Amino acid sequence: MKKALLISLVIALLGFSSSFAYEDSPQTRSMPQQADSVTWEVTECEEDLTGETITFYHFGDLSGTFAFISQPLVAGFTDGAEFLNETGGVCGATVVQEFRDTGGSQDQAQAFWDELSVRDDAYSIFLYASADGELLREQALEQETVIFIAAGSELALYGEDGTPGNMYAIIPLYADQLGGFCDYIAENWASFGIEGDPVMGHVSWLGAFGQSTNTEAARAYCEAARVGYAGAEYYLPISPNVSTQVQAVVDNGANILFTTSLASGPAQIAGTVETEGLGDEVLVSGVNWVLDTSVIGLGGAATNGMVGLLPYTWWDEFEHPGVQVIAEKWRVNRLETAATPTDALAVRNIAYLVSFASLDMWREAMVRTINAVGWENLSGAALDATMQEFSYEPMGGIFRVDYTEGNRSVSSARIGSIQFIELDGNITPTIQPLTDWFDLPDLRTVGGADVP
Amino acid sequence: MTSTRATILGLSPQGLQLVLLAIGLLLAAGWLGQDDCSASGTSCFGLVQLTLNGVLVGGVYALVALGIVVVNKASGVFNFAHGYLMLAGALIFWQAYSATPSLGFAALLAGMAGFMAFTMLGYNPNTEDKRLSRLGRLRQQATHRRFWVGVGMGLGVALLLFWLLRNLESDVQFIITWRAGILRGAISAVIGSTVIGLVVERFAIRPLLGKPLLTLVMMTLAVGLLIQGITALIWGTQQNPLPIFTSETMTIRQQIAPGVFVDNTLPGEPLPNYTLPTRDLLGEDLSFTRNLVWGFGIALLGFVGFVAFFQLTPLGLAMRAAAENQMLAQSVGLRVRTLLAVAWAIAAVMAMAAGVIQGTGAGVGVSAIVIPPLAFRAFPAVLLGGLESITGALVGGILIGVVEVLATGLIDSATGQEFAPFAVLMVVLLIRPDGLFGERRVERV
Repeated sequence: MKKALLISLVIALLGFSSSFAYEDSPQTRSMPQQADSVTWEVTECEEDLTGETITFYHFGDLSGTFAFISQPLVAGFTDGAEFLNETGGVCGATVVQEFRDTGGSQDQAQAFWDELSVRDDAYSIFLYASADGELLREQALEQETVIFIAAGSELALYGEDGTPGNMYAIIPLYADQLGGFCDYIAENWASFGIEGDPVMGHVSWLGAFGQSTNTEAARAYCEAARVGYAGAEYYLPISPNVSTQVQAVVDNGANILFTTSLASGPAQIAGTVETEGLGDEVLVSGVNWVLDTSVIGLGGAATNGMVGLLPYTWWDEFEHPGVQVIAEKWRVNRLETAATPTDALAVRNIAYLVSFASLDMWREAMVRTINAVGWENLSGAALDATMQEFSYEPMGGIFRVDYTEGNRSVSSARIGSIQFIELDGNITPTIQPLTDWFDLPDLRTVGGADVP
Repeated sequence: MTSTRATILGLSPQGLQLVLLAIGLLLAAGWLGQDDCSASGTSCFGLVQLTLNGVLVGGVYALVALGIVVVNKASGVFNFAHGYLMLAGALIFWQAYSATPSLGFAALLAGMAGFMAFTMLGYNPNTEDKRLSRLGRLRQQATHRRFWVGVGMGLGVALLLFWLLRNLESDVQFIITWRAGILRGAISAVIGSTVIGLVVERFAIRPLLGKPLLTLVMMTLAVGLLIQGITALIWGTQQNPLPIFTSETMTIRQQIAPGVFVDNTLPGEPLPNYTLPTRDLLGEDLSFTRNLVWGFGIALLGFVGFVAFFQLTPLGLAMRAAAENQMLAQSVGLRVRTLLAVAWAIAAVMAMAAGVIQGTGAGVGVSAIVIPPLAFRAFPAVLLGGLESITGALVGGILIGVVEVLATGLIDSATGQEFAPFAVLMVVLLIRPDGLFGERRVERV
């Protein structure tokens, strides 16, 4: 009993100390009134479901090593669900969400699938990780449950034989991203002022995620676009030092470093390039996760000038109605309640933006399905039939999806860059689009239309 | 009866060290004597740079390994919670580094330090009358002058630290410039880690003393998960930048809406690597990552400190005796529980140092994704060096680091990161199951 009391006391003290670890309150000034209603084109409901409840199921790693990216995802879904309900829910039905924490364990993912997928109202489930997608692909097909996923694994989306399943990604395939980036480099290389023809070296996280971009098809596509190849080096997220990997591809002639990693991954490469004195000799670039506030927060000034794929409308595009809604929810629910501004800014990232907008996509898909088959006949199979013909711009274009013709991932993006700019006498980091939206090449290993 | 035989392949540890050093020097001389140092065409400079990078990376592994070995040496427990001790310590450091601690946080840390000072200086358990209640024992202690000296010292320590934590806002000039944030972080993290180590020992390990070893090991796994949960509750799960060696910080104003800004602090322009002028000898200057140089230095300091501690101090000698045979140590009046508590406190501080060094890498930061798994990465270093050997932890760490970096640079990343360190470990363990510097135990019936 005494021990339990003592342990409770220690935990309480730790909590107590952290609760007022900083005395400064968030430094906010009043924000201009932002849009808080749906101002973009959505499908009107043909049924009134007021009084009903629809559950949005999702599960991912919230307590394991990837919690730093999952926490903003969950925050985005929470605030997104709140927004949906404030603006009429799904045909009047209230949206509730049910989340399960896998802790990064595949066994847990399987257990939650077994638990949730058999429920009558589990028409769809949202997943966070490529590995979970690959694990559940066949089971989802069998169960006729639609899966939305915040990752771009070709194996999960198309299987080994290239057959589209009922899994729909909200980001582009990584190989497609690389192809789109090579197209951009081929046309704009001179603007970077780096000597020599463009030669790309990959420095990415070791593992399925990091190694998924550098496919044979993507390499061939880049070489056809006259972007040379200087090899690939990989490192573990815990590597204390990546100078060996960076130096190896630079020694092979690389003047572009392309990374498939996130948060500390791109920041570590950018920092290493600067500390090695290579800042003027190479361009640091990467997949969509590179252009994120988490990368800026860790890498700081070293990330200035990084280039990557931007398949979203970013937070800094203040005039966009979808961004205005998301920014306002973030301010009210996150910034005003955070212990420090830094805590709130940690959530103002890619994951929050995309998960928030994904809920609008989910609502649109549900509405179209209910209109097509009626509330009584709503099922996973009916939702999948909708998705196969689904084309939409969530929240007025936070991202753009077109799942028709067997496509299972986002297929349009822009190229963007991290830029520290001076505004009203303040240095502020921004992510700026460098191009307009364009279609990414289809570089699927099996059946990719643009594979040379 | 158990006895130890500290020879390796017929060599004493010292002998083996000399052999390893000689091999290293021969290799270095061989490389430097050629224009092209390998069949793959890697330059001599490249090989030397890779090797030294490996030594520095190995320093981080060694720092982690030292903490694991200290606990193992004192209690025979392989501590699977070490990675989470690293995370907790680094987070405390980060919190005090990034801003002046609040009144509550500073008071808590200072109070803990004061209490520890009091128990060390003012409380003499040898004079306790076990028949009395706790309050009675306290009253009894209060009759001794030492008790009141301890109270005074405890209060003094608490007040001094509280003042320092709350007022240390300017850099301090002493030989070099010590940044205020680093000093605040170091003070806070040392106190916090010591307390965490003591709490873990008192409430998780001590009740299981005498139980099967597997039970203790499982407990360390549970403690690790508990610490992970508590750190997530207190600090959240975001990655926190800690650019104390690799750059200055810069204050920015993040625009969150047109004309609306939120203040934030980010790592500034990265500082260039340290360089060694070797242009005349190797054609280029060698360069070294700043945080790894500091990590290596701390690992060396830790090594020297531990060797001196275990060889020369009464407390260190007592810990060795207790590790060898707890019953025997108790029978000659050594307070085994206290010794264990000290070992866990030291290990937690070493863990904190390793966590901080890892978090200070350019772009790395302090988070659950980059710190706890590093402890698992250092396990080969511990096993290679020998579970109970301080020297082994250092040598094992450096060897694993060199093998990893050389294999990465000369073969490929996957080989270097995932295969080579474990292959070397396997080969060594096949030849020498107790590790390079481990003590082979011979059971005599």
